Amino acid sequence: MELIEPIYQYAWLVPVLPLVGAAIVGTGLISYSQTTSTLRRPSAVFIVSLTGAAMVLSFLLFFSQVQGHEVYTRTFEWASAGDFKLTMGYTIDHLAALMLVIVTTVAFLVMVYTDGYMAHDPGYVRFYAYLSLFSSSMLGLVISPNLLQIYVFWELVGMCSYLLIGFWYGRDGAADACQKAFITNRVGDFGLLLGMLALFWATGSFEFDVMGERLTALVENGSLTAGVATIFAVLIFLGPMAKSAQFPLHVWLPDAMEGPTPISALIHAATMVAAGIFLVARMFPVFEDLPTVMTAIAWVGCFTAFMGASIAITQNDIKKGLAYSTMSQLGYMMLAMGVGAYGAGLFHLMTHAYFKAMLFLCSGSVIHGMEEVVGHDPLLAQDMRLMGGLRKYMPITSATFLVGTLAICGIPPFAGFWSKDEILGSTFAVSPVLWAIGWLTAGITAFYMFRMYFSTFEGEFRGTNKEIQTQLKREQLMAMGASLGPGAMNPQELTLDAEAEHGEDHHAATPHESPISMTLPLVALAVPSVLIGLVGTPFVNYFEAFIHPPSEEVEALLPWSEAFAEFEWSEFILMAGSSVGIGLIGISLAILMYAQKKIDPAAIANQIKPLYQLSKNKWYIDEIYDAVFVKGCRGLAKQTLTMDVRIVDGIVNLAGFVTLVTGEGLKYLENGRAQFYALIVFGAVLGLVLVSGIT
Amino acid sequence: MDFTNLASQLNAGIILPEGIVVATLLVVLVGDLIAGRASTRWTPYATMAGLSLAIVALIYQWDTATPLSFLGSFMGDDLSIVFRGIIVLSAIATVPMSIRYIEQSGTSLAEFLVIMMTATLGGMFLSGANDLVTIFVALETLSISSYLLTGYMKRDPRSNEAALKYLLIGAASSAIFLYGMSLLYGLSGGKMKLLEISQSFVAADSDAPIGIIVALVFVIAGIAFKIAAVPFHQWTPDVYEGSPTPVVAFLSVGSKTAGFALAIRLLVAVFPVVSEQWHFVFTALAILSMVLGNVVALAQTSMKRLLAYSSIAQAGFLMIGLVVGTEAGYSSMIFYLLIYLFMNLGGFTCVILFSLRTGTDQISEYSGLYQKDPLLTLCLSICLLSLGGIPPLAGFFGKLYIFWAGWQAGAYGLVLVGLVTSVISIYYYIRVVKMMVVKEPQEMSDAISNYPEVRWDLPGLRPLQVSLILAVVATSLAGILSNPLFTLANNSVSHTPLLQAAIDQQQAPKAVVPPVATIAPAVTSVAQR
Amino acid sequence: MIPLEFYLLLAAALFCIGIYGLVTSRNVIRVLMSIELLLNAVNINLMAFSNYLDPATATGQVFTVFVISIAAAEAAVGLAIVLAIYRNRDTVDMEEFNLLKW
Repeated sequence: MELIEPIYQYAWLVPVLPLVGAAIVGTGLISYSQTTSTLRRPSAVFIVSLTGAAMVLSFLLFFSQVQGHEVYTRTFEWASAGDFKLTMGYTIDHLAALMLVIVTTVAFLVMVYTDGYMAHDPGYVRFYAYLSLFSSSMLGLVISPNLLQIYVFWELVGMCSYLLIGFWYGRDGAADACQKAFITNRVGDFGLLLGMLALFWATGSFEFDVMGERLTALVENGSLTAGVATIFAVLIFLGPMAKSAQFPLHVWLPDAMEGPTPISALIHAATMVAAGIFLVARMFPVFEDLPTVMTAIAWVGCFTAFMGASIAITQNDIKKGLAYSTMSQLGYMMLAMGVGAYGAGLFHLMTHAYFKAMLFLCSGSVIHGMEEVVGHDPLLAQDMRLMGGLRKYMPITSATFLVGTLAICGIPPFAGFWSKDEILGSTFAVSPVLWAIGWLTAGITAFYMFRMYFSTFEGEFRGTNKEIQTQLKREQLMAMGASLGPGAMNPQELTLDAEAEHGEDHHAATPHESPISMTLPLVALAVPSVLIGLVGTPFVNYFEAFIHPPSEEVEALLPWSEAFAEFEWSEFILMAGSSVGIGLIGISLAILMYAQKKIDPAAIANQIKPLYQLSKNKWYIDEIYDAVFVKGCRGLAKQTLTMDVRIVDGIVNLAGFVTLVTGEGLKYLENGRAQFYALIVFGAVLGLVLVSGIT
Repeated sequence: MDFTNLASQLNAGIILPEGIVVATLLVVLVGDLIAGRASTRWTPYATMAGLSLAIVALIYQWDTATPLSFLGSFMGDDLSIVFRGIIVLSAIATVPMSIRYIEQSGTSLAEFLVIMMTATLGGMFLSGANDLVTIFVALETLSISSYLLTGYMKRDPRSNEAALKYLLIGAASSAIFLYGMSLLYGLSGGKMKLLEISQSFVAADSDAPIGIIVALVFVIAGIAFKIAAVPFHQWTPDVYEGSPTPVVAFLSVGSKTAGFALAIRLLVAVFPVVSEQWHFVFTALAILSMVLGNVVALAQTSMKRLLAYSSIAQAGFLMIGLVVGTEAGYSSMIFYLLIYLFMNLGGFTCVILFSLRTGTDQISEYSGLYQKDPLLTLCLSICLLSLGGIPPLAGFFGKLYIFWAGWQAGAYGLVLVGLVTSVISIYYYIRVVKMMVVKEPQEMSDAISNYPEVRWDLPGLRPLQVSLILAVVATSLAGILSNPLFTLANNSVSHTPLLQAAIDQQQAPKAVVPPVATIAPAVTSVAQR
Repeated sequence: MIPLEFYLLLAAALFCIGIYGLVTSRNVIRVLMSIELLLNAVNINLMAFSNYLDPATATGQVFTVFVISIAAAEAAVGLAIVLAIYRNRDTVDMEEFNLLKW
């Protein structure tokens, strides 16, 4: 134990190490741009090893927490004025330790993977600097002891995400996507900030448990109505809603896939989007006594889960499909939080982090392989209609993807089974309706994931099929023309560009397996994807014993044999059986439709055309937002503008104008003649004597 | 009276830091005489080392038991230590800026350093001066060296003109100041020590006689000239524009700090009888400085003039702390000075670097700098935004503290003027930043399109780079990690009996017992020890 | 014995003359001389106070010595600057020195 104390004292190093890496490489990039850019390998090794060190430290902290070390909090006063005090610092408790391990392992593996994926990108070093900065902010968020500090890091991870989505800022899609992400997140963050300040106003604290206690007390003694408290909590919840892509603030996540794939894996699947869940978990003391809020959270989560899954069915872009699946899974976690299944939600967060990161990295590997065949055009390289039969060429990728697919579908004994089953079980206890939707979603999930697997890895390779390629291009042009309208981009130019590009490229006929630096992280992530679920089996739930809400006491764990004996098998089998059952139905459907082609998906799509279109167009959410918010705002803005120009602007401009003119005018008092200055000095002295003598 | 007794009465150890500066000055001067041109290689470093040593000596004198030395002529209390520290730091920071600048102009570096150290010495003595003669001599040491520094570019008519204007206005205002001091001497019946003067005023017990008010205004004229408060500011833009930029950097921080040290000591110690009047005068000066400084800065086209008006405005903000006269007021002022040191010197370092590379100071020439020199753009942006008070940079916290202290003390009008004018100030700072980061190549200015390749290995640029990075890091982090500076500022105020007495008086304005009577015994007992 | 007020009035008058000269002279040298007048007015003040109020310690006289020596230094620096400016501009007319303005 003596050995472990220094580790706690130096726990702040966990976020600081990656920050140092980012700072050093970043400074290098700013001041010696060329030199640093050529030092690709050394920079990468430097940053990866710093992250590795942070990972080791996190594991040590985690193990000591598992062994029952008490919560360690260290704070220092950051600013104080009278009774107003702000503290900063870090706290290591069970939740923080768990999150540290998740974030550092995924970040570490993603960084290793990046070396292969970005090998030919000119922004290689910059990418590492951003990645490191992101890891640092995320780790800082995880160990924050109070809401204020969380908010600071919350904004930082948001900024990193913005930078990384727009990493290829040359691409129009990326530039638009990062703005969309930014604006959507601002909406949520604004709510979070308001809620945070309101809670501080009400409770006088930024500490989670203090806030929860005082809020409950305030509501009980009637100085704050439950309605107001609920509004505060809902405002807070807006933050997680945007960050974790919950309906209706989910629109940014699929577009965020414009960023490089490692980013999608790290930020938009495993860590940052989970920050919302994490915050809800941290704010649990506040939320749990407000039943309305809990119900709202559960419904939002459930609806998001269903919607994400339903959209994922029809996506052709492999990354978009995974993005919607992420959204759906985040919905599950939110659902778990909403029904009070704190442990289950975080358990799913952990399992999902591993298998979804792996799935994304697999998709990256596939795209990497496809680029050899179809060129560096995301439109072609990411479309599943051009893939197929990749199992032959990329055995490791396909095997790991299959593992991930089985995990997400909830097939025992893979990780996803245990966590999803626990969520569904807890939901059933609260509301059968929610359970039913969740259960149905599980089936859809199994279907679309296997659809994805089959069209990517099975069947025959369609990558060289020029017909499909041209068809895809035409579709994109039509979409562009329709949505962007005239003037945005000349469609012909686009075609010509594409043609010209084609002439130069020398493409291989078949894709190849990715380099070892990419496949190794896949394999490494496959291990937890299979096994990690076993720590949270319903018989002996180690996870639940480790992670539980601060207010709850958990009874001691029974040894395995007794646990088996006392376990209520009938209920478990009913619940688990039903969810596995619907999973299997989904899989069978997928096999029939995409592997054996017994059923023609196109025929079904034609029969239920409205539904198909609804899913394909993402429930028309983007269009609705465009019509309501973007156009509405513009309309309103125009209305206001006319008002504004005449009155408000007039006044503001006048004030500014007067200031500027005064400045210009007064400037000429400075006429450059020393004697005039001296005169003013004497005059001022005289004036001051007179004025202060009289008063 | 034997020699040892005399020496112990003098308590000369208090001015050890000044002694170190004098020694360094002599070493540099003599070394330059012996080694000639070759001395440029080591003199700047010797200067920095000597000045750093002085800082160390200052640290050791913190909370000294017997701050009074030279029979009461010099006061080495914590307040003076903080101010002396800021002045020495500003001198240290000026050295690396000047190496390359002076070399490029083809004048002697060692002489420049010697004059600058003399000015530093004047400023340091001024911060602790406790009688009229010491104040005057220290003030003139600072002033005359500043005139020389201003005119250091002998061949440049603009530098000559700046020096001449500075000298004329400076001499005129110090004559006024001196006249005020002679009145003080007469009105107090022949006293020189600050506390004795105020004691005799209190003993006379007349209700704010016109003679004291005249003396007060005359003295304030001298102080206001040093801190460049409107309407005694008019030399500032001209002198800043014409002088060598490192000198401007020193003047804007070191000289101004010395002025504030003088203001606190003189006004608080001598004029409690007319405290209402001096607060009124300073309120007027503060409002005028904030408004005029910020408004006229909008219309500037030269970066140095812009910074001149900005420094006038900053002095206005600082005066809020002086006017409110509470504990928080004084310490917020010291805190802001500490932060101002970093951000202003950082800003000037960037301006120097830019003019070294392009040879111009026009704001319009900065457009498009980002594409050629991102590091410089980043640093200058950080410093300017900090001066403008954008969170989370240090300047924001400095302003916040000052405004908060003002609000607490009920100076609502001053704080409101401060808030409005700092919004105006953000406009002209942002304008420069915006200009630097314009994207389109055709908007690039001529100076930028001919921008030389960024090189740091030219002689004298390394130290510049190091000091720039340090200043920028301090500017970015000093706000977030402000506690040490904060504590320092607070302690320097709470450990200074002079200010404590004034604060007590401020808090109990109706108290019958005048404050001097309460602290004078304490001070004299210290003197007798 | 001449009353103290007479000296003070003389000093005040001298100070005002100095101010007048400082503000109106076109020749730089005359401006510098006016500054000397200002300082000497102060000296008279100090000497008078010293003799009438504080004859024992005579600190005012000591102060005067300091003022004189510093005035000398200031004049020296001022003349040096004038010399430099004359070399560059070939004039000592105050009206000509307005390169720096606005």
